[in-house]
Amino acid sequence: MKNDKIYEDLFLVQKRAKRIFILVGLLFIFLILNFWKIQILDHEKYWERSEANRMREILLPFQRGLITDRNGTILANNKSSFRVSLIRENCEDYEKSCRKIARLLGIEEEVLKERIKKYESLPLFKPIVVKENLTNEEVAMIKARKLELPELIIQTEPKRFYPFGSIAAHVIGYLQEISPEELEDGIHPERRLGDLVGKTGIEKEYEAGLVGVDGQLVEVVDSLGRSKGEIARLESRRGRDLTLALDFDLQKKAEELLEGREGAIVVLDAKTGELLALTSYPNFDPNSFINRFTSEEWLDLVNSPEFPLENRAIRGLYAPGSVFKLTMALGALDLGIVTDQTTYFCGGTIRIYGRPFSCWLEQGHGKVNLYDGIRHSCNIYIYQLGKEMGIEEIARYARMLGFGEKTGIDLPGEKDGLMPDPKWKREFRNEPWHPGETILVSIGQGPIMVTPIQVAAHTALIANRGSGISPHLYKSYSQAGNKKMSSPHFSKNYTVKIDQANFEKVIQGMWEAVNKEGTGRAAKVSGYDICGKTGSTQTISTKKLEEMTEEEEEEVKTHSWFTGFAPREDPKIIVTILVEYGGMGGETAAPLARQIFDLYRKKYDRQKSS
Amino acid sequence: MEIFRSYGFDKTLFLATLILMVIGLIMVYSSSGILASEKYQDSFHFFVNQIVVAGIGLALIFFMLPIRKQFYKNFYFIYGLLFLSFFLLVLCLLMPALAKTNRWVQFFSLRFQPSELAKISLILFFAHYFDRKKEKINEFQALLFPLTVLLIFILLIIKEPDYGTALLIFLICSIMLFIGGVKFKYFICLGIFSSALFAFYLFQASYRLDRIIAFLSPTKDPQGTGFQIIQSKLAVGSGGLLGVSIGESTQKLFFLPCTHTDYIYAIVGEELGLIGTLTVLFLFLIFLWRGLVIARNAPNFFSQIAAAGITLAIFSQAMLNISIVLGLGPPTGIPLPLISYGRSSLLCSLFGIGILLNISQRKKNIIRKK
Repeated sequence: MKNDKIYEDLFLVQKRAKRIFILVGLLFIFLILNFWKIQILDHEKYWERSEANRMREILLPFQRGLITDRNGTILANNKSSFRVSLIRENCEDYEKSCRKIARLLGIEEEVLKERIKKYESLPLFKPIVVKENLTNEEVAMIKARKLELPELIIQTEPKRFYPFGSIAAHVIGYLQEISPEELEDGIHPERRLGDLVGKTGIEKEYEAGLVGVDGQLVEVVDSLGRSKGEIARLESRRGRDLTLALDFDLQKKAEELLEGREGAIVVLDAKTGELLALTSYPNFDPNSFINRFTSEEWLDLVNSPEFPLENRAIRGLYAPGSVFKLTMALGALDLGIVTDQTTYFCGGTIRIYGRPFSCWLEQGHGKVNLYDGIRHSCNIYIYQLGKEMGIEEIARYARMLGFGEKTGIDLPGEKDGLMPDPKWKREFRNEPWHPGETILVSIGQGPIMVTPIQVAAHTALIANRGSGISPHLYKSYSQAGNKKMSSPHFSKNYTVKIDQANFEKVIQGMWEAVNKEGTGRAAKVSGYDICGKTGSTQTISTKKLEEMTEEEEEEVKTHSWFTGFAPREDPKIIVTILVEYGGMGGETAAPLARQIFDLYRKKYDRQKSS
Repeated sequence: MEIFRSYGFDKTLFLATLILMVIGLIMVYSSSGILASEKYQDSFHFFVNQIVVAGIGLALIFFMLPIRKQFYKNFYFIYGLLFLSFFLLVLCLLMPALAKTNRWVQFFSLRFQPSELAKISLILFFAHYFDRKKEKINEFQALLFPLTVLLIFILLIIKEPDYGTALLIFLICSIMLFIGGVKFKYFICLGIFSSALFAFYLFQASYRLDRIIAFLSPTKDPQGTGFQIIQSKLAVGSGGLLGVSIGESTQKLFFLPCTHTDYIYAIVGEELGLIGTLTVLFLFLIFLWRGLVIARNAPNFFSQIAAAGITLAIFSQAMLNISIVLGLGPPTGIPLPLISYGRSSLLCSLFGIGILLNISQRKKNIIRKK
């Protein structure tokens, strides 16, 4: 019985398998007939078509998305330019044509050959760009020698153009040819050797959104390379347009103010953290880099002692100086070490831990309370706070208030800064912490390092009475475009656990500094409630300073800081200014801040203040 | 009842497999060299990848051959494999998209396409299930379970989206049902249901519809989707009787997309001519013939349908790919087994062939000698 069942099963499978086999047989005959028809009977026809179909593919380069400021002023666009490329396959005699081309284009033969060598791995029929940004005369000259030099082809491509040159150059960044390392890394998966990619700034940060997709044109060409018509055309797709939070007028003003100096200005929207202006000076004209060749101008910039390519606003590390007194005051109030009425006496110098520490005002400030301490930026007052708080607490409050770590701004290369503490010193310098250092750090000197953007974010935190923002440049992507791009996410406002009343007290001090003949009085705009704090940081160590004569001491200029916000109630704008070797903060940075506040009020805040 | 002849496997089928693989390796190098040197600055990139996997696959076959126990018939093995495929398919959808699709899972630099594993595990699952339920095979309740499993797999693969592979898996499982002895009336129901489902998905993505339209009238839109079909026929046709010889294809110079994967057969046609295309075709026919002979001689019901299923899966995939290259079917993007570049595909095909060869060592002499 069991065996019968098995017989039946096997029979069934065999029967069905046989049916499949018959079906397959028929399919096979059909396929063979098809091959016979295509490969034997119609062979001639296909062969001719395939021969005639010497196709040529032409790249249709995409246009990068525009970059505009918040009001639609175009900061980066594209204009078409001509470039000439060499197709090695079409060279009759490589050496000879190199010589000819070099002469024709006015480049050195060695340079040309080196250039081509870089792309050796490309297939022979792929064009290699040998010169860009051709003038009309050059185009005419090359076209006239078409028969003589069939290996050269002229292509147009959209070229990145920054209409305002150096304005906002550090923010926007620039393009350069993709490097072999970047190709290997695979950060730009769809780009190939010879493509231009964003190297710094917004162009790099938002590369993924700004790039489009290359199109392709396939055309039939005859044996002489003449076009016989298009076969396929895939239009290129444009990248997304990007709107930045920048305000062009403020940005321009900030750059003008820094002209002839070295420094940085950061202007923030106090509520949202949007950057209205971010400058670093000296700057550069990004238009001069966008080519595939290393220009002398570029090398000059890279090697310049003033580092014009460095974005000082996010990469410059400076001691915060007296700006740090805000942190100290907040910390001491929060810990209950002082109240706003606690007074200390400033007699110009004080001995702490057996060492003299001096105030910047030789004759001293006399009796000083918290408000005076901030208003006059009295060192003696802060030394006492520092001594009471100790380095661990100072470091804790500094970190809580935004120092020692990146702000997370959407620009590549931001620096962390440094908030020193005993642990750091043990690890990196292998030395114990000296109590005297605590006193130095408390007035923002010594190893402590901050960036201007950190100071701006820190000021926003105070202005908002303890709620912090993440500074960013991104405002929106355009809706158009085929790619889906999600907006970048900036961490929501966060709050620190310090009593609001303590913020009010520090803000009162900042208000007095500007409006009651304090150190920041030069920033005062009448009718506008500006609060601020100046800073002047020693650029060489105290030890060295002591060895100097008085005249020499005069010569050494300090870095000049100002950071502030306005209006006092309902703050709208944060301004942070750093001028390297600018002298006293109140003398150099504060007047610049005044002009920014003034412009901002005229443009945005008129109705409120009038 | 069963005789196991160690290394007495079907030499003809093995030889056909080897020849197909060698042709594949040559053609992969010939058709991908330029793309590889442009993309990776190394013309051997794809070739080396493929040869490594071919080696691993052959080692796997020789490891499986002497195993006396039918491990692939084991309940835990089959359901474990099935669950693994399911798990990987779900993982696919959770992984970041590659080339806008979620077809791969990636562990470090190793990439794997789980839909290939799904094919083989579904074949074994169907064979195992029918073996247990053969008396009740024509009862609706008995069919419900495998059909649900099939539906889940197909939906997951469609979601990737990989329309071609989903169609292929559906086709393979239908063949499994057919040789498993399911009556025709069930096929009619299944046919109606699945056509409705596929039609729905067809209209969901416009490119799928475009492909069908392009297939029906390629000359209407020679610049768009019809382009591939025309170029593919052009490649095959220009090959003639003897072809333009290896490495001389002009079509692979970016006129025809995916030349080392989906359209490799068109390059075979162009470079090796009618001789080449028919050789490959006959090798697949030999594969089918030997595969079905193995199925016929297999000692038990499970082995029979598993062997037939594996054979027909590889064969029908080949036929589908060849029809597409000839412009006889809509371009769906499935590789030519054993020949196209594709590491997951090659490895899984060789795994299936390993099982097939293991079955071929088993004879049921009592019945045959009668």
